[in-house]
Amino acid sequence: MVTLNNILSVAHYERKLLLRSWFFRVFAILVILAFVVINMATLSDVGMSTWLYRAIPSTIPYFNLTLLNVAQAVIAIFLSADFIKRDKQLDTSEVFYVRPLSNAEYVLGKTWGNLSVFFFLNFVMLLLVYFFNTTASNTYVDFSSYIIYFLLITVPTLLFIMGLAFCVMLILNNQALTFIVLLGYIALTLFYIQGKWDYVFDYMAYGLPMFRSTVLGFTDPVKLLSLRIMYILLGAGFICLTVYLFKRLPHSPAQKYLFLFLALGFFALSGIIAVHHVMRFNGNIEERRQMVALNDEFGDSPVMLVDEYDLTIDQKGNGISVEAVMFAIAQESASKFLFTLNPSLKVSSVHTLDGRDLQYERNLHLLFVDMGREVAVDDTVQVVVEYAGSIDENICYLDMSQAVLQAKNTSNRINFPKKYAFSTSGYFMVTPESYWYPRPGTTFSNVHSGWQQSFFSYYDVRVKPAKGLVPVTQGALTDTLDGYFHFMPDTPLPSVSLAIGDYVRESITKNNVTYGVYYFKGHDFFKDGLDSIPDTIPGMINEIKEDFERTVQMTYPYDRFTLVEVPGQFYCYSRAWTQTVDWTQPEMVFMPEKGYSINSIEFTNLTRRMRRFSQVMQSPQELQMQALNTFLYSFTSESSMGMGMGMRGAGFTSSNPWYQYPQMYDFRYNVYSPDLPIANRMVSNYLQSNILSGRAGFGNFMGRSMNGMSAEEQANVLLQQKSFEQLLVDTSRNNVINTIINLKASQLFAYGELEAGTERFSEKFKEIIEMYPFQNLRFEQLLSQLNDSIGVDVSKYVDDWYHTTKVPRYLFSNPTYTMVSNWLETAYEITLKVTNDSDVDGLIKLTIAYAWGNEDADVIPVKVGAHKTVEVVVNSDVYPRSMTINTMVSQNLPNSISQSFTQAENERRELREPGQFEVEGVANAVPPDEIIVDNEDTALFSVTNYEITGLLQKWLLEAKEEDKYQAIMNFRPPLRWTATTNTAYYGQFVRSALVIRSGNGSQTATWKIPIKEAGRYEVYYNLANGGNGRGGGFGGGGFGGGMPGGGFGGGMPGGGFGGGMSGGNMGGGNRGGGNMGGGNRGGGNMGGGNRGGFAGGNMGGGNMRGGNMGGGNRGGGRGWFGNNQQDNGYNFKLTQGHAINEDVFLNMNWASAGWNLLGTYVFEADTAQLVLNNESRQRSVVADAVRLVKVQ
Amino acid sequence: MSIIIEGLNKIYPSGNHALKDVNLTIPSGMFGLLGPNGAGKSTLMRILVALMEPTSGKVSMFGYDLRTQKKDIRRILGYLPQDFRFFAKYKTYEFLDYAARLSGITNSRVRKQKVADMLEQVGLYDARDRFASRLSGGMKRRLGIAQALIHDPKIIIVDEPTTGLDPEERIKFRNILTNIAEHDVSIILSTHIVGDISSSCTHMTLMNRGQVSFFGSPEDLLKAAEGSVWLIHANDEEFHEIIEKYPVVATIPAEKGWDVQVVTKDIDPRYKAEAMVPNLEHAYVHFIDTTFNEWSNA
Repeated sequence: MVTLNNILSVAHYERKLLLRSWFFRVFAILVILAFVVINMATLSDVGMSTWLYRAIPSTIPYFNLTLLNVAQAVIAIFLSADFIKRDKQLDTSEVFYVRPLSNAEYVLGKTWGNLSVFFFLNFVMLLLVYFFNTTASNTYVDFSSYIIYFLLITVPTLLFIMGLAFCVMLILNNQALTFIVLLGYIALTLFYIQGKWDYVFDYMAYGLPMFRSTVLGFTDPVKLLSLRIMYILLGAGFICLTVYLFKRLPHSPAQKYLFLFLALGFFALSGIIAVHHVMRFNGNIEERRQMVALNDEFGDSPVMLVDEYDLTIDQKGNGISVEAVMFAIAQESASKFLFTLNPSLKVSSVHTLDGRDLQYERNLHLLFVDMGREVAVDDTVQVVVEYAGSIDENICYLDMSQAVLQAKNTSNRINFPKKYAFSTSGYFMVTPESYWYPRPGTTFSNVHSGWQQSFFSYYDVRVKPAKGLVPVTQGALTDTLDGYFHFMPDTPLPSVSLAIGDYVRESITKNNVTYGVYYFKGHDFFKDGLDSIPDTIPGMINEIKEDFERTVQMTYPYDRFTLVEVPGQFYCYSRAWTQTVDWTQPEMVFMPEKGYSINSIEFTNLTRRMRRFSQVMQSPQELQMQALNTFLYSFTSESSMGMGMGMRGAGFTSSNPWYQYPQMYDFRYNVYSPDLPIANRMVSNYLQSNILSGRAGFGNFMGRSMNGMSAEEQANVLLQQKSFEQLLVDTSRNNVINTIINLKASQLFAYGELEAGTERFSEKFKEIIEMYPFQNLRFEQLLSQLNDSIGVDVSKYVDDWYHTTKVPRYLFSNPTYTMVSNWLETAYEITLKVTNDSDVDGLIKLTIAYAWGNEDADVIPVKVGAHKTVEVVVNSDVYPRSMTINTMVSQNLPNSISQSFTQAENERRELREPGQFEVEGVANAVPPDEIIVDNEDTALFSVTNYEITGLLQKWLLEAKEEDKYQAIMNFRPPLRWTATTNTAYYGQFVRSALVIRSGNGSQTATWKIPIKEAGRYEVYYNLANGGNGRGGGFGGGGFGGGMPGGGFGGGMPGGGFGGGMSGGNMGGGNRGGGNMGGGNRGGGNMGGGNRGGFAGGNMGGGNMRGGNMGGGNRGGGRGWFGNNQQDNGYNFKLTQGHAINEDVFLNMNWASAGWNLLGTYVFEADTAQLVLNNESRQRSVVADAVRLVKVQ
Repeated sequence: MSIIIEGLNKIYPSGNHALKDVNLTIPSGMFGLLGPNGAGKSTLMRILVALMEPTSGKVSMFGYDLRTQKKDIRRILGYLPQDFRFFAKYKTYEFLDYAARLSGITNSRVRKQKVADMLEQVGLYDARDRFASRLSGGMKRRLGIAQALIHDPKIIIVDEPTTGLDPEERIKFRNILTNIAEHDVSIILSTHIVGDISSSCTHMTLMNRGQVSFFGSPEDLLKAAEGSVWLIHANDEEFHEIIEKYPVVATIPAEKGWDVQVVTKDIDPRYKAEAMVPNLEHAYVHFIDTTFNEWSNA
């Protein structure tokens, strides 16, 4: 019926046509060029030489094929649908139709012809990739992955999309329409459906996690295979349907219907696979739902705290067999106690230590143990639970929403499956998250709090691994009797984890701490890069450790610190209520396979690059030491920069998952409260904020730059809508929850600081915490001990603090900064008036810094009662450099503003008495001869906006409508007036403005200015800077340029100069750039950006030093070039009845940050109107505030 | 008889009744299918080459039933469609090779030889590496016949092959067909150019408005027209009368007026008319304008 000769003949000539088509040729050339560039950038030393690709070389074909696949899927639609169009158009094709070949042969031949050309292209591309792969350093060619990914990605995609394209083309009978329909389908799957129903619609395997570990291979090959086979079947179905629909008479009607039935058969099969896949996915969701429901139901069951665990583990098959002996203490009087154990671990026996069988019930993950008698509170019992099985990952992260669980885990375009545990015969790995041993109580519950509490227990762990494998868990390896590895931790631990694999263990000991590495056999790549400094390594590690201990003012509590390599699929989530993530376990850090996400782990490459870019000759030893230091610092740096840019430039800073502070605090101290589940995190954050003051600054700056609102501002907006208690359970706000906790912690403990003095309070606080290492300390007890020792009762604030949504708002005067000299002394005097313009009492913190970076600073809590004004007077012998007013939880946006002190006024007089004094009046009231109308005055300010009608427009323009203040990307300003915040904008409480992309002038912003008294007024307009909008807001493009260079610190100080000097605003300038660029008052736009940026570069210091310099410089460049056109400015129209009708032009070349004079006009006692339109040579137009000053 | 057509009807979805109860028995040799544009020739051809399903009726070719045994029929069939201008991007020899492969010539050596022979036969060997789309109209037509012949078919169906060709190409093409017809194959030549039939066909049929109006040899057709073709020597006044009254085949200006060839059975004795020996063109006009009209009127 179907002869190969005919198929191959048709294919042969179809191939010829395709290869002769210019469309395909151009595409192929572009593909080859693109992949040369991409691979040069990713694999060779010329480019970034991404470590992930070279560390795990299966990702090289994976990455490349995924990219090519998207492009070829689009082109394949066009080319494959072309054959049907061609057949229709060319009269000569009929001579082939009359040949004795069947429709099936013809269609299959055409399909194979098309496919083979694309396969050939893939082959050429892979050959290219292979070349780069072989020439790349520190890697090898994973040949099988080239074939596997080709079969998994390319074949099903092409087969499916071609089959679909044929069918759609036959049905629609129009190539253009077919192309549009299928492009729409691609866009739909790529941008909208994405990973829904566990990637069942992801025909391109674009998002489907297909990472292939060098250790484990695929973690779920059956799922991958079935999904991809499903698309092959669908493709086959569509091709059969094409045969059926093909517009040529078949040899016989029977043949035609045969292919219809075949098509239906293929569709049915793929349908079965899809349904099975979705059912499995839904089954997991259902199981998780059931577990949560059980937790809700039994969350208040009696529990025991386990004082000691003796765990004996045998690795068997895909799982483990465990005997868990628990020495437990009843927390309340009961006979039946609740434990949680992974639901896949089947319990075979529960008995007492002396062999008496105990009744037990198992309900999914819950294990109820009936002691057979009433156990009194604090009575100790011994329970032995014997169980075996593999690990069900559904129990992990029950508190995470489906959206979070389903979110892709992507790094460098490689999609990783999220595995929370591994349970195979060759590799076993569990963290406490998978409840691999019985732990008291339940897991996540919607109705019961306190489930997240962990308590300290002693552990004694014996592990018998499968032959040839090596186990690792917490504790010292004391002996290996009878194949059992015996681990004994020195201290009680909140939990233990376990990994059993084909590990090689290496360690060094320095100052009684053993630093160990467990890596998979063959993964010793890191050694080459340290071969010149073997003797120096222990000392260096020790030095970093001691450095870290000094920084966080705590000691490392364990005798071991072990890095354990885990397969690349391992994933864990961070949580609001704890700083720990599962990467870090007590005395142990899980490192992803070959440290793929940590570029600095590839020491050889790092040293090579250092050598290349270093301007000083350095010895190999010095270079290797530097490289090792860079790597080790990744454990002691609190945050790493994560810059994601979404539709509207949503960005974020992420905490560093390798940061080892939890070793110092979280695994050692446990402050808990049934009513306040985040107590421990609050305490931890508070302790850190004291030792690392100012650390929020950078992250906040980043947040604001990228998001429109900093995390703290977002937190403040949320705290006006919901109470702290409500926000803690609102999982949709996980991105800012840590900031909320930070703010609330600092707010609560500020009451204590206010009463006892900041230093005294924080010292006592730490002292009490340190009294309870490896013990559970109730939060209430902590507060009570504080009260007892320093007489500060913070607990009285807790209730209101936890439940209120009333948030104060403040007005501030401009601070005065005076050098006061008299015959006795010379000292600096700072004064500031604060008015609380709300019905609730408020508390703010002033930080006076005497050195850069808040290293030497006074923190002064200031209590401001409702509707009161307080004047703060601070005296100092030392030259104060800046003041930061942190309103913590308030309606003010930004909630924290800073002022650099550059030049003090000199006065000869007595120093004022320092302190906080309640005074009359209102801070920063607009003088009687001035009128200010701000964009926040909704009654007096309005804008026009395009009507949004179409769905697409809505989608594009209103993507993030939920946030009032949005991020403004300087290079892509919004099409509609969009509110954004910035310190340099004007605002009584909210320093905001509206920004719009420059256009034809049809969009306007209007300020209605009520003038009570006729007369001559100067009209001023507030500019955040002389540049363009938010980006330039930080000093003549300093920020805008800072971005590409990566120097955020660089931009900020530049901006500080702009705002601080010219406008006299409170904003900016606190970081030092202000001082440098400050002198450059007039030329804010020209040299200002340059100098500001550069200065900032120097000052940004710390984390980002390298990038800042370049960033700053570039920023300056943009500032210079951006503003040299003569008609560069804003167009206003000022009107008042018949009296005034003036076009006003504000020339941005000469404008400076702050209030810019638009002109002087004579007004009547009536409302005037100032209209700003969006016609401008600037990239964007900013509507902020207008100010009228009466001329006397 | 090689091809038997019985009661063939084709009604298009638009309602156009393109073939009306066509019955034909086509013998071996060259068979002409003559008729004006729109007579249904192409529809009949497309049905015969299994590109179109008839609405009703039966076609048998060398014993194979067209409805159920299309594959067998396609195996013995060569077809040159009416329009043969637009090619995919194939070279001349590739086009032939493709056709040969699809016709079942699997041995590449044999196929190569066959293609070369065929190119030689139709005079395209020198143009074998040229893209088919770049050939002249006549060459394209010759390539068309070459592909129809490449697999030695028993039936060759050629639809309007000489349309648009210059006289030289037309003669070349006729000669090729005549040569083939000598090799025990049935060639069905559909045309509206009478000359094509007269020079080569042994049998023919005349179609008009979807029906067969004549079946027989060209001689029979001529015979039927005997006595109906006249040469009238007319003055200017008569000339105008004549062209209104009779189907005119040719008008030639003469010394004292016009020599007009007309086809009619009843010639007006007023005119100076002399009987002519009919040629095929006269016979064609005779049938179209008289016989068929009579049939349809009947």
